[in-house]
Amino acid sequence: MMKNYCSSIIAIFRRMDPAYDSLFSALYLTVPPLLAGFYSLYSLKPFSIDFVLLAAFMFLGIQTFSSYKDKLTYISVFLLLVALFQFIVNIFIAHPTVIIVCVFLIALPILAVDKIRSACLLALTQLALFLNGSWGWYDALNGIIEVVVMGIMVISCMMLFEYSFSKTRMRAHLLYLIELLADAFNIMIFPDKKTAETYLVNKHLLAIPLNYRADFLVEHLFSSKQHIFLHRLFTQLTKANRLIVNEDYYFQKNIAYRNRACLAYFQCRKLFREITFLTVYLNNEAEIQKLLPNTKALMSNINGSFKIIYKAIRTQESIEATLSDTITNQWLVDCEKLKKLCTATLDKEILEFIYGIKCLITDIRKFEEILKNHGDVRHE
Amino acid sequence: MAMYAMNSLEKVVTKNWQMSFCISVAFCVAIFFDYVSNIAFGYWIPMTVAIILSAVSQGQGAIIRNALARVSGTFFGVTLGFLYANIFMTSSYLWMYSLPFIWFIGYYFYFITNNYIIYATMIALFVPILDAISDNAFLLEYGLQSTYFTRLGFTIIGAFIAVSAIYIIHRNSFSAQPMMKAHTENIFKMQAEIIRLISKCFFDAEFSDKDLLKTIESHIFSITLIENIYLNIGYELDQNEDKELFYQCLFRFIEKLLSCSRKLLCIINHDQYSGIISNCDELKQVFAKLADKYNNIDEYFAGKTDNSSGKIAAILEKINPKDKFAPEYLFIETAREMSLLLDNMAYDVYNKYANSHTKCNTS
Repeated sequence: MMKNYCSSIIAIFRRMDPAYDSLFSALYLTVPPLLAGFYSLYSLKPFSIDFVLLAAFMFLGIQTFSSYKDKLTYISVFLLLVALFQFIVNIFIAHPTVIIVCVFLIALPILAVDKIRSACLLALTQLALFLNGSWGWYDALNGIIEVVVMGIMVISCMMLFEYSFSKTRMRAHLLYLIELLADAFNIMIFPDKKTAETYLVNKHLLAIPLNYRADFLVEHLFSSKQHIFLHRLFTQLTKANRLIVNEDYYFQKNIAYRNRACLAYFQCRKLFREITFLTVYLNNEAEIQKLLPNTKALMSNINGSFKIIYKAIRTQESIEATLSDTITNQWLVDCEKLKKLCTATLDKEILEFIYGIKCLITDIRKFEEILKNHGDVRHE
Repeated sequence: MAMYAMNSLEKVVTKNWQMSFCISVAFCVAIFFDYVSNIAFGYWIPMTVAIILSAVSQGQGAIIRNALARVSGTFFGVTLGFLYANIFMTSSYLWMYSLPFIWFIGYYFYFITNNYIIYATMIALFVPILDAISDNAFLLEYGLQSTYFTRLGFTIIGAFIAVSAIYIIHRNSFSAQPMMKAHTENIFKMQAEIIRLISKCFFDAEFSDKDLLKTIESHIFSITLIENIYLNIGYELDQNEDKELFYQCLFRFIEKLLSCSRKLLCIINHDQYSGIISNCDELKQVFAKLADKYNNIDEYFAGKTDNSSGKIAAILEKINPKDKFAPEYLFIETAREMSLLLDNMAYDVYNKYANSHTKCNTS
């Protein structure tokens, strides 16, 4: 009973956040301020609100960068500005005009540079908090030490998170990608919405109330479910590309895992392109069935193979042959016969469908090979 | 060309300085208000200005949306904070340990929904609580006076300063329309480059994986960016229904275009030109023309027409039915689909959305 409740709750959260992106982002935003809080308590240093928020702002800022170089540059610029503002506010707190002139002269040239504008804006937010604080040389120096300690803490947390969670994140993205591919394939081949949904692994990504996301907004512009799914896949591929292909990893184990995950990711990208050819299936279903009677059997076979690939990456089970040789070979033989018989009457859409399925068969088999040879994608 | 590049660079630099001047002035005015008011929590004004203007990279619409969300988020935040401090924290200090959990849940939902109200609520909830913990003055920090009358009041003043600044000082430099236009242009330029590279790969077997990947990434980056700009563009001052319809049409067009590109990429992944359909040079010309068309899409939006779709259709008609199973046939069919797509979009833009497109261009 308890287990059922737990799995239902997990299922709801998975629908809201399928690749655990929000979960990890929230965790990244919670741990450094929490550590800062503990540091304040146990170092017997007076608790400082700026100290806690500084970490949160820094983590919000570095989320947009992929490379370590950019992240470290961002942190350095941010800390430098915060330290400078802290110094100015603490020393000139009794002379507001001096503070205003100094802030204006410092902020004006820095805000004009695209790359460091956001760091400067967050530093200005921090400056506003300093206006509420105490003043004097001692506090200025103390504040700068706080800023340096916080910088070290944030960089350590960044490394720690990379070491602990990168593999899990990459794997979650891959799994969600395969789920979406399976869903998109089902949407392309099942005419009835209900039938389609019984086959869906992931059902739909839950758009909870108060939602304000660009991908959902653009999705509403498309009339067909097929295009909605293709767009959803496009969005997920972009996110996975950032995390698996573009992200800079420092630790060797993550780099090695990334190299293996890349193979699976590129294969997913190929499958996505092939699924695009299947958008024409529902319009020509009867005709295709008449020309190639084994098509339905092949479709359920391909559908099953998506599930096997998903399971193989998720668990540590060794992968079996995903596609049945008998069914696929029979279908390919039928295609060859068709080629010789009646090409004159064949519609362009049917040709597209046949080509798409042929490529899909080839690439699913390649995927199988990748999982057999580079099976470590599944592990850890 | 060099002159044109210089001009656009100068424009970007000028725009950045205008933006920077506006933000600096707004922030300094906020600090001035803080000092003039001389009331506790006056720092809330410059803090609000900086937080609202941190959306500057997403344009005017995002700033206005953030300002509205910040005011409502502060209302929810101070209400929750008031209840939390007066009900729980006065009864036992142990409730303090629930704060990290509340922080985590709040930001988790913020990241899921991307709703700025939640972010503003969290800041309005936590800054005073942390302030209160550090000063050991809960009830003073969370009385009605210090929540609704001062913090909420100061937030409204801060939001007013930020929004007024972007309306009064260099209003155009904050508009997202030029950014939208620049990235839309980049999408079509990259589309032209993708067509050129794909054709090279299919007909000449010259495949530069790196170039193609780089072009696709730039293409995708621009698409993702215009989707994000579209999210807030509705809040801009000069947004109207015509423009909204134009953007909707643009996104549908891009989706269809992406489908065609995917088909072409799939074909070059699996096959190459086999020579079944003869006249390779003519086919290459078709693709060169298609790439050109996408490269100069502005001219077609301004009313230019050509017969390239008809020419591709003529080539397709000449193909022997028994050769239609060859990948070349689908390759050329997809090219025709892309050419027709552009023709239809250009027709719509020229006849239906001409005004909004011109406005987008001039802004």
